[in-house]
This record gives sequence, C-alpha cells and structure tokens, in this order.
Amino acid sequence: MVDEERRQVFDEFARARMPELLRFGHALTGSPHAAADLVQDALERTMLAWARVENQGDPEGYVRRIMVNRNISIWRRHRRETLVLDVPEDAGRRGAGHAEPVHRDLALWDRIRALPPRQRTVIVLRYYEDMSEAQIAALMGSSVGTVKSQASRALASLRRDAYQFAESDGPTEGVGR
Amino acid sequence: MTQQPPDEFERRLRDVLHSRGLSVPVPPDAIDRIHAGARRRQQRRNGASALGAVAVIAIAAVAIGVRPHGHGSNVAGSLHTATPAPIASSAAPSSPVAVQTSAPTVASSAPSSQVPSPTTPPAAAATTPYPSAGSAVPADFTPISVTAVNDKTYWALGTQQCGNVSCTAIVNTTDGGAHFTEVAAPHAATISINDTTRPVFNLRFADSSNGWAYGDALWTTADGGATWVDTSLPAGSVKDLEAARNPGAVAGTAWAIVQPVPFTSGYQLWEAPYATGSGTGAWQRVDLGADPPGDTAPSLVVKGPTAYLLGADAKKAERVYVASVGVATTMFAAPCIPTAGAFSAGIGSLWTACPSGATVSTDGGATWHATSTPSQITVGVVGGIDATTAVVNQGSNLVVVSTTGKSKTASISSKSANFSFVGFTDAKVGYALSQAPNQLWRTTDGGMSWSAVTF
Repeated sequence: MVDEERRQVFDEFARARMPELLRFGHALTGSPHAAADLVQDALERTMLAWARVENQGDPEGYVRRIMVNRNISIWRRHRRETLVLDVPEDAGRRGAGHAEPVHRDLALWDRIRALPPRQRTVIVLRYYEDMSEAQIAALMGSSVGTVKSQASRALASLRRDAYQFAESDGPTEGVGR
Repeated sequence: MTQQPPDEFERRLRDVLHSRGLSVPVPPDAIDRIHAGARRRQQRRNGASALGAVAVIAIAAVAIGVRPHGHGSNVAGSLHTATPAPIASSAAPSSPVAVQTSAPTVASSAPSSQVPSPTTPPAAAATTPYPSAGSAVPADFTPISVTAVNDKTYWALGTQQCGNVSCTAIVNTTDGGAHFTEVAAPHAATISINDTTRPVFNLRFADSSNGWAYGDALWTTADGGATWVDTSLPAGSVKDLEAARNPGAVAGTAWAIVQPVPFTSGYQLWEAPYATGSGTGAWQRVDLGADPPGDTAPSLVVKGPTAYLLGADAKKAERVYVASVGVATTMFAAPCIPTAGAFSAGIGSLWTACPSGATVSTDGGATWHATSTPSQITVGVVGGIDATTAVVNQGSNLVVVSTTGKSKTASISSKSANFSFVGFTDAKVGYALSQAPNQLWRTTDGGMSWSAVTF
C-alpha cells in the first residue's frame, strides 16, 4: 500500500474514533485539556506505526493501550499534579434543587480524579467502559490479580472518602448553588 | 469486582462517571495537528533534532514459521502433510556474517554490488546508516520480529540507535540466545518515513541460508543474512510470509499473503520455491477458488508443502483455505475469525483463538475442538505446541491450556507485557514477543516458564 493511501485510511480512522478517544481520555485524565493532549500524543505515535498497527488488526485497542500507559507514565513524571484542586468543568451546572447530590457527586468525582493513576484507570475502565477484569488486564498489560487488587484498593479508598463526606455533608452543603 | 453484583456504592460510582458529561469537542484542525506532530516526531527520530531519540513503539503482528520437529509421524498422520525438516543448529554456517566485508557503521557499508538497486530505491537507503555485520549487538536493540529454524538458531529483526537515527538491525544466535551476532539488515526502515519509504517489519528464515524481510517491501537473502536483495515481488504489501519443506528435502515453498496495490479485489496468496544454495525462485499467485479472501487479511501458517489460511471471503464467511503445492485448494468452515496472530501450527495440529477460547484442529482445519480455556481469559494470541496443548496470553501472563486438563499459568517475570505473538519450534522450545515495551521471551520447558532474551 502506498503511503498516501495508508495515510487516508489512518485519517479516516482518527476522524471516526476521535470523539470516543477524547471521551476515554477525559475519563482517564479527569481533564478535557489533558485528554486532548493524550489523544494527540497517542494518535501521533499510532500514525508513525500505522503500517504495523493496521496490520495487527486492532488500531483502536492499540491507541487505547498507548493512552492508558502514557497517562500512567506522564502522571509519574508529574507526581506533584494536584488534580483535586481543579474545578470540575461542569461544577454547579445542576444547581438548585440538587445541592446534596451535586455535592456528593462532585466530591466522589474529585476522589476518583485524585486516585493514583493505575487505580483510577481500573475504576474508569470498569465502571465507565464496563470492561471485564480480563479486558482491563489485557489493556493495561497486567494480570487479572493485579487489576483486582488495584480495584479493591481504589474502591476501599473511595468508600472511605464517601463515608467521611457523608458525615461532613452538613457544613458544606450548598456547594454548586 | 465482577464476581458480585454491584452494591449501592458501585452503582453510584457508575452514575457519577456516566453523568460527568465527558465529551470533549474535537478540534477542527485535529488531523492536521496530528500530522504535524507525527512529522516532528519523525524528524527527531531521524536526528534532525538534537533532543535525542524518542521511544519507538514498534509492534509486529508476527508469526514465525513454526516448524515442529521430532514428531513427524504425528503431523503427517493427522494433517495429511509432512513435517518440515528440522535444521540442525550445526547446519548454520559457522560465520554467515563473515561474508559481509562492509566498512563499519555507515550507509555505504554494504557494497553496492551486494544490493542490486531496486526500481524505486528505498528512501531510507540513502540517508540511514546501518550497523555492520559481525559487530556486537548494542544494548538498545529492540526486537519487533523473531524467526527460528530450530531450538537453538533464531534471528530477531529490530531497531537500534545509529547515532541519532533509529535504524533497522538483525541479530542471530545459534546457541539458544547465549550469544548474539549482528548480521546485515535490508536497507529499509521499520517505519514509514516519507511517501517513498517501503518499510519492513517482519522477518522469516526457512533455514540457515534462506530468509525474507517483508512489509511494504520484500527483501530476500540466500546467504544467511549476509546480503539482502529487494525483490519487490509480489507487488503490494506482504502481510504475512511463512516457509517450510518436507523432512530431508533441500527445497521448500515460501508462501506470502499479499495486499495488492491497488487494493480492489481482496487479499492474495503467492508462493515461491526456495532451495538451500540457490535462493528463492519466482513468485506466483495461487488460485484460492471461487471465494477468495476478502478485505480482512487472513492469517497464515504452513506445514511441509501445505499452507493454511484462516480468513473470511468477500461475503464475510469464515473459512480455512488449504493450499498445497501442485494440489487444488480446499476450503473448510472456520471456527471463527481470530485476531491477528491467533493462528498457529503445533505438532499435528492447527490452533486458533476464538471468543470461546483456544480452539484446535487435528485434521488440517476440517473440524475444530475447544480447549478448557478458563472463562476469564480473553485469548488474543495463541501458540500451538501439539494436538492437546497450547499457550495463550492472559494480560501480562501466559497460560498453558489443554484439551485434556486444567490450564496452568506460566512463570514469567514480566509485569507489563502485551503479547503479540507466541510460537513453538518443538514441544519444549518456544518464543513470545511483547510490545510496549518490546521484548522477546523464550521457554525451554513447553511454556511453563519464560525468560526475557537479553541481546
């Protein structure tokens, strides 16, 4: 296949799958801006390896693997990142009449974003992408046992935080109004 | 996590994630930005930037020409074909690289007389320095394809840094990986650089002399990799290539899955004879009957004079195409359409990966039987060992599955391997390739334990 033809196939793939990849990136990173960077990075790498990626038959899986692994390695380099201090993009949109649920949701969303990247990735893949443990393990390049333990730790942490927030809902009720 | 129904908290977690409105607008110039970014990356790889090299995420959907030996009667009896001859490690030339008299390190290292100029010279040939044959294997050698002719002798195609440039390299061992020597490599990149680049990203050797490096180009060696010729045939991209011969024969057949240019009428199967001492003969297209493969690349394995393709025709009907040299093609219903890399030859068997798990045929593809693959395993790659046993991937683990007993998780030191290939040369020795990071693994105990190959 000549390069021009191959490039067209790549462009069609990227154009068709980018909305879904951006959504996936947003869930992984917790930020639309970081998602855009992550998707661009992954698609640039995929484009350079397109002949082999196309040959292997699962280009979207390849892109998602890069996104998952790059997101974890980027996070390692920027360990000081303070995701919990970011203001969620749609904070307050739901406004009056949903104060308590909005607050609880925001708090839980922030806790998810503050999880260590591997745990956050497992949670997003499991509860947002509805992937099985085996699928998550394959995507992350880890064992099912590791996925289980990451999920267990993440859920324990989130449950603990949720309990604390539930107890302290009174004084802070009203956020989002 | 999945074994129990979700409780209230998990439902809330799911609701929160789904209610976040995670859609992100696609920038109108997204494609242009990706192209520009990819060009910058490529320039950095080519040394135009002093920032150093970026990691090459290189993958290859590879399947080595699995040549089971030592169990020839099993294969011949059940598959109606003969087992290809084992190539004794001693058959390998003691120093195939000694033929290479090139000067070290630079593009001119290969005398022009050794590499006939193709009609359209690969662009990389003029600009990319290539490592010299016989030199020590650098620590940064990154494997992307592996091919073995017996339990001790194998080659790996990969990349290494040549100054600021990532260049193509091939290494060879004849002692099971204790020592590697760099042999000459085709003057072709492993990635697309520009519109005239015709990269190669797979390597096959049929014996110690005949080998092929393929991708968008097809390079051939008849001297163990000392010299390579860009044959440019068959016309198009070579998606897969395997070669085998009958036991004791000096000649065999190489088979290639070709995506023709322009791609208008589906994938094609081509064949060419090869012989020790005389190289590869002319390539000819094989007639695959009334319903040849359609627009999905079929997978290919070979046994003796017979090639087996697993793919779908233009009507998306799954088929096993069986093509033997000089014999009319036959077709069987396939158990499923596997993912790339999930078609493998074992001793007396063909293996593939279906959604239900690893599946085996012991009658040349006519009928298929499932193994007791654990339900939590989503099989992506499979390497057949014999009629009852194969190795499949499970995340970063490899698992030995069987038609007769329980599966066993292999011992492997990797914590993050994504396997793209598993294959065996006999009942004990096998190879696996993982990507991101790229690594070659080897087993000598039938897949129960795997060690990373150090180059």
